Amino acid sequence: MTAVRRKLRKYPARMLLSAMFLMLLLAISGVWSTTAQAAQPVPVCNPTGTNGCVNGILQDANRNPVVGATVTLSGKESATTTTDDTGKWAFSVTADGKYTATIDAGVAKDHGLKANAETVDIEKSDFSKQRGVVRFDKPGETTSSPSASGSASTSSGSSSSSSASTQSSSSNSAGANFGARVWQQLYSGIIFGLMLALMSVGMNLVYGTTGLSSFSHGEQVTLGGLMAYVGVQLLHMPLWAAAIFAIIIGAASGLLQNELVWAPLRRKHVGTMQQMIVTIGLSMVLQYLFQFFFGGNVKGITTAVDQGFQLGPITTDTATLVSAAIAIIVIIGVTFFLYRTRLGRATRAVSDNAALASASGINVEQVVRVVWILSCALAALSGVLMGIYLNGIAWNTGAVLLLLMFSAVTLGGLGTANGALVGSLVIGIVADMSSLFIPNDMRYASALAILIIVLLLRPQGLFGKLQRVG
Amino acid sequence: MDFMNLISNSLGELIAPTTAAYALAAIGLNIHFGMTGMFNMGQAGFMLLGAYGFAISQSMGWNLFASVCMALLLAGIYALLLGIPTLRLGPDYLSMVTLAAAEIVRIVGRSTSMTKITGGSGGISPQNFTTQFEGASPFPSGRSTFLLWTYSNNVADSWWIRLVGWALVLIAALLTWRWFKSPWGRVLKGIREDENAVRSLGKPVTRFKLQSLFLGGAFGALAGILFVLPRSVQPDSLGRQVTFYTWTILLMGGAATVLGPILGSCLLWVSLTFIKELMRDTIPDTIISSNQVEALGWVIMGIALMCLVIFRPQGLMGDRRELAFHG
Repeated sequence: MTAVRRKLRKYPARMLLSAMFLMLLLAISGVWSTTAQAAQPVPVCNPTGTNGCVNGILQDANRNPVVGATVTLSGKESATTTTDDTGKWAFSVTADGKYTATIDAGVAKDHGLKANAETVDIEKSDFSKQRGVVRFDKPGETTSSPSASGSASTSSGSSSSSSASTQSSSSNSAGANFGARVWQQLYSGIIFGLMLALMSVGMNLVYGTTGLSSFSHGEQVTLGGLMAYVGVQLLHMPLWAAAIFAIIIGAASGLLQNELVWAPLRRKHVGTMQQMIVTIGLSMVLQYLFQFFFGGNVKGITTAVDQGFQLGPITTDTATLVSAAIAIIVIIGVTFFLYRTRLGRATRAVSDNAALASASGINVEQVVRVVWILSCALAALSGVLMGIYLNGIAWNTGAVLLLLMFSAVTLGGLGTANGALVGSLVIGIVADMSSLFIPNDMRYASALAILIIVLLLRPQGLFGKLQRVG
Repeated sequence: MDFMNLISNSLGELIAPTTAAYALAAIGLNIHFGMTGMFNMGQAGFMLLGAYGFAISQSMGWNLFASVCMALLLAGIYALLLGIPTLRLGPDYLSMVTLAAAEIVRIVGRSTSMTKITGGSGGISPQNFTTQFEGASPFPSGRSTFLLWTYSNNVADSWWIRLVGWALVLIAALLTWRWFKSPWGRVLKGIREDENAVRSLGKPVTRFKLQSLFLGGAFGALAGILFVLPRSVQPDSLGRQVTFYTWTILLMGGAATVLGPILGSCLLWVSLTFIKELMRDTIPDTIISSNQVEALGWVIMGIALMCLVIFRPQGLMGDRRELAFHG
């Protein structure tokens, strides 16, 4: 307290200085602002603090790209561009407000598009309105899509643009290729489930050994992805090195927070519910720190876009397959660790009954420390894979996934070792398969609904033991 | 830099409708957590449902009273749907299910396929549901100044909303005060302390919990209406974060106290606004941009929440013996 007071007393002088500095800056920025640029056509647009994006992919009714068509932007700022050979077009805009993108009415008619002009609302400071995606085929669906949750909602496809278009195209011609879509969605559901499993296994281990459901686990995932971004894009490491870098940072953060926060709290016998609220606080701190340092937009880990290829009835790409393979290997490794090594057996013993384990000579604190390190390292790895799979990671990617992790863990049975894996696969598959029947943007809701239904029928979860409950 | 402006802006939060809305939501959460010991992690779901119930029925031309009833009804049904499966399970399950259910409400509400009803992610704009409320105001139109602040009398972020909002908060506080002293409240406190003991006395614990969930949720629904009246119904502005802020407010003021939620809400918003405005005014834009100041404000809030729970879990006004944290 006294330190704070002392600071306050010192404040006025500093404030005066910074006020003068501020005025100077205002004068300079006044000069700068006159040279602010208007909208301009760009090949690829990413929203930042200073620019928003209006973009889209111009395709005809059969999903073939319309090449070389002219797109005109009007509204607050105006510009003109032509679509590239994949039909993509993008404008980078600087002013907030309404923009209208227009294509020639004849072109729209020739290609069977329902509209030739669409209006979007751009607000740079609002994360949900930084980017306006214009769709001429479905005028109602032109959205100011949030950069972050937009990234999450594309998780079912191999790359954001292709998945968005394949999904909506298939919903156009339902019955015809329903079979193909089932396979495709099942596949992407399994991939998504595997990545979810990597996250939730760690979360479940922590729950099992300490009784804590950690709300900050999502931020551990984001941390992994963002560290991989730092490694590849800022430190120019190769991807594998950046991934290892991210995992090491993740593991270190797990060790650090166990030593600094959770171990002292356990020593003080602070209740787990109280600790859970602390994780909520931690999650807020980390999330907004990420936003502070990395901004609100999606950070791409790799710039190269993989060309997809056909594998039986499904379309996929190498990066996705490699990610899935890594996920499977690591999950097998963790299972091996839990069932075949001394430390793993000790972990399961602590999970079952910490007091008894302690009495039989197991160092519970040591086990918990290992669990925290392992859990955060796994989260970091899944963050890297998720970042590659989703074509980027944002400050709140983990937070979006957190609820799905919770459902996976609860579904499998809180604190059970294999539960998380099965739960994650179920959640992943349900989420992606449900988009065959319900609108795509509601599919996470269906995964959460499954959670509630399972709790109704089998409250201990699929693998839980009944006596754990209540 | 205008110091007077900074002070009046921060103190303006003291009476802002949003502060009242959060206070009301926290009073509802206090019934759940402070009185009954239930971990409702989905108060924002109640708020969003209340807001939707009110705004949609208003835009369909219902009268004010019917719309408020609609909001309360939705909250009641929601409480039943949540409560029946989960109240018999442990606190972990209730917290996760409420969290998930609130998120389901938001995801469904913002879905493009619901655009006709809920307006999708764009939400419902104020001119569709605030006219009747503004029309009910007894004040003449125009703007008035009272002490430091000037607001419009009736339109948007008005004195009328402030009056109604704080009147609601006052009523809610009086009700909770009454309930805390009542036999019914004593049973709830008993459930909070030891569920099995209360059950052994022949009290239907699940039914009491359900009543508590409904009443707290009803306050949440009213808070939701209050929250959207000065702005618009935006599903994303009533997401998980709102629940977390409500928890911070409740724990800051002190759970299981009557005035704790109100004190917490005022303190949180005033200090947060003060800190953010101070940072905006003193730190040059090139070092920390306006967006970053916003983020830093929440970082400070997160740290405050962590420290509160660790070092003073009873909050500013609470009594350590009445702590609702167990196990």
